Amino acid sequence: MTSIPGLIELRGVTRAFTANGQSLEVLRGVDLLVDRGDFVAITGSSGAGKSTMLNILGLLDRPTSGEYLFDGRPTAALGDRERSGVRGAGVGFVFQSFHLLSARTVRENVLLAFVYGETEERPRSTSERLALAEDALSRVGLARRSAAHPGTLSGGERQRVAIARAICTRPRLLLADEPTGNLDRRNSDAVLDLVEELNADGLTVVVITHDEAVARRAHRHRVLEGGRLS
Amino acid sequence: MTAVVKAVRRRGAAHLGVRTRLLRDIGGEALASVGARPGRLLLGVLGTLVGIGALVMTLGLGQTASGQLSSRFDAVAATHAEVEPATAEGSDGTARPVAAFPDDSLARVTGLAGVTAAALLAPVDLGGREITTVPVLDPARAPTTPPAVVAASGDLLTAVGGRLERGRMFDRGHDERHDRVAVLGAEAAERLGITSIDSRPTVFIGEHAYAVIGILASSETRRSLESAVILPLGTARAEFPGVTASTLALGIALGAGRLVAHQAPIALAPSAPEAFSVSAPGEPTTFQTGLQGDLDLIFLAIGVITLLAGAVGIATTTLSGIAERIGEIGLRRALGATRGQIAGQFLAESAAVGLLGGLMGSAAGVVVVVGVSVAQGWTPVLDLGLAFGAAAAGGVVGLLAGLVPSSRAAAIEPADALRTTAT
Ligand SMILES: Nc1ncnc2c1ncn2[C@@H]1O[C@H](COP(=O)(O)OP(=O)(O)OP(=O)(O)O)[C@@H](O)[C@H]1O
Ligand SMILES: [Mg+2]
Repeated sequence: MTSIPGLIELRGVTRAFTANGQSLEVLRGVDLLVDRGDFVAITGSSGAGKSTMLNILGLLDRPTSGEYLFDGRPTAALGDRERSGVRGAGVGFVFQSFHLLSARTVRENVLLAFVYGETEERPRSTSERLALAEDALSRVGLARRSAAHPGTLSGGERQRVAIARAICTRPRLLLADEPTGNLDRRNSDAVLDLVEELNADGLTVVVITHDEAVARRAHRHRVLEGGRLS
Repeated sequence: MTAVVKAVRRRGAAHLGVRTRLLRDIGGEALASVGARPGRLLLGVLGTLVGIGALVMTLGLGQTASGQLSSRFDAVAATHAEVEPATAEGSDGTARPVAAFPDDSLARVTGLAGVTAAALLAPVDLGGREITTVPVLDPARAPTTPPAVVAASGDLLTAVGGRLERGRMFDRGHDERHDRVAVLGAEAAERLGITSIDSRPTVFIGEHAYAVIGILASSETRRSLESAVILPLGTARAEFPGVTASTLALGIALGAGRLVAHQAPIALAPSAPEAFSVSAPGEPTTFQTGLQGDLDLIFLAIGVITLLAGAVGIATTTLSGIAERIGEIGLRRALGATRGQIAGQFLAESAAVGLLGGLMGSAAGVVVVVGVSVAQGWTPVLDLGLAFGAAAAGGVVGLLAGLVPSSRAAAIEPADALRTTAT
């Protein structure tokens, strides 16, 4: 163990699924250390287990065996409330499919992050939340679309709304699962510029991608293969 | 220990600010979700609406109807009273009166303030004698139970709220002269085949003929008089042994009930007023209230059954809603929602649907009650507590209906939920 532990650390993590009575071992001993302020890209072929690994990093899933430390603290013993608390306050997610609520406006979708993400002694007031949401939306270039409904946006715009939602609460860790998968070069570059900018401000980033351009812009690049990282 | 974990620790502590804000936010989320699906909302609301509506309608109509009954009953009770001797258990185990009405009972009570009329009533034991309209005894005729015979003196009509169909009531003269006259209750007259008194009909009690001078149509406080043969008390005492007054019926001025109840026993027995008890006239119309009760039960059952159907409706729409919204559940979990908060949101949603159904159903029920009352010329009687309670009951039904769906929603693993694609 190092004297300054990483923000997140996987130690010999395995994850097996049982489907139709057969056990499928997707992760077979993953070791990963991500320091604060790091920007790590993970690539791997389809079905390699990238999303599975990201779910574990985001405390949405538990390893079958092995250890996962968040902020230097083992997470195995944490209960639902504590895990949910870390997710809400410490982690921002960007999913491959955007997961926006179609009945709500862009602004309301972003504001949703504040409902469960409060850790302060004093909850943020509605106007504070609004200011943070509008700030996040302007950072992704969507300030003028905040009253629109997601159904009226392009794929790239929806992804940027999802990013605004992920960063508006100022999390410490951004987990992104193919954030540029649906975007053209120009949009994808804009999103990457934003991620780099946030990373420069101290946000720790783990991004899963098929895109070599994305992988090149990360500080480090790891490949998931045969259930292990190399 | 680092900042995030510390922050999480703080979150666990009781911070009213964060908690109330969270509750408000989750409530807002629930309402927004309910409002976003009007079709589903309608489906969920409908069952509760009908169920609560039927319940409010039944209970409200029941209250209104019994209000009508009791207001009629109250009017009678407010102007009539009955005095009876207190009873004690005799050596043979039967209840016996502990006092007898003094001979001058009528004179004693008619002078009291608030008493408008008084009449003594005494059951007459015929000792096996028959009541017929012909004097000849026909041995081949099957024996029938004769109508009851009641002896009375005083102002009977006013004291029992009676109304004559024809003829007249016997008076003090008849009573004092022991005249053989009778007034027939309408039912008794019909049984005896007497429809008119123009032909001066007579009835025979045993071998003695009694001139029928009147027919009593009805009595507000003593229905039994309608099927009785009524004789003057003096006559009955002279003809039959052991005739003892059992009841003193009083007509009283409106509002004088309390005063009369206090003074009448003293007037009758100054040294032992407790020997007499005064009560409101008690021959309730059991048939009507019984019927009302049956109807109530049927509508109540209908209401409860529809309400159950409504609960099942809310539960199924919520359940299918969860299947549709699995991606949303995953998203909320990723944003930091605990299992409890997911459950809370779905509970709040189904409670809101139930409450809405309850409010609408309660309003509809009130409208029906008022409508029926207006059509019937009744005064609508409806407990406000019932109307609001019923609306709240809708919310409770929704809450209960949401128990299973919400625990299902809470049990969904976030990783599985997110695997299902959404918008
Ligand atoms: N809950 C589950 N039950 C059964 N099998 C699962 C489950 N989750 C994932 N898997 C399997 O694990 C393997 C890895 O899935 P995962 O989604 O992690 O792949 P991936 O690397 O993200 O692929 P892609 O690049 O296509 O998104 C797949 O074969 C998938 O079928
Ligand atoms: Mg994947």
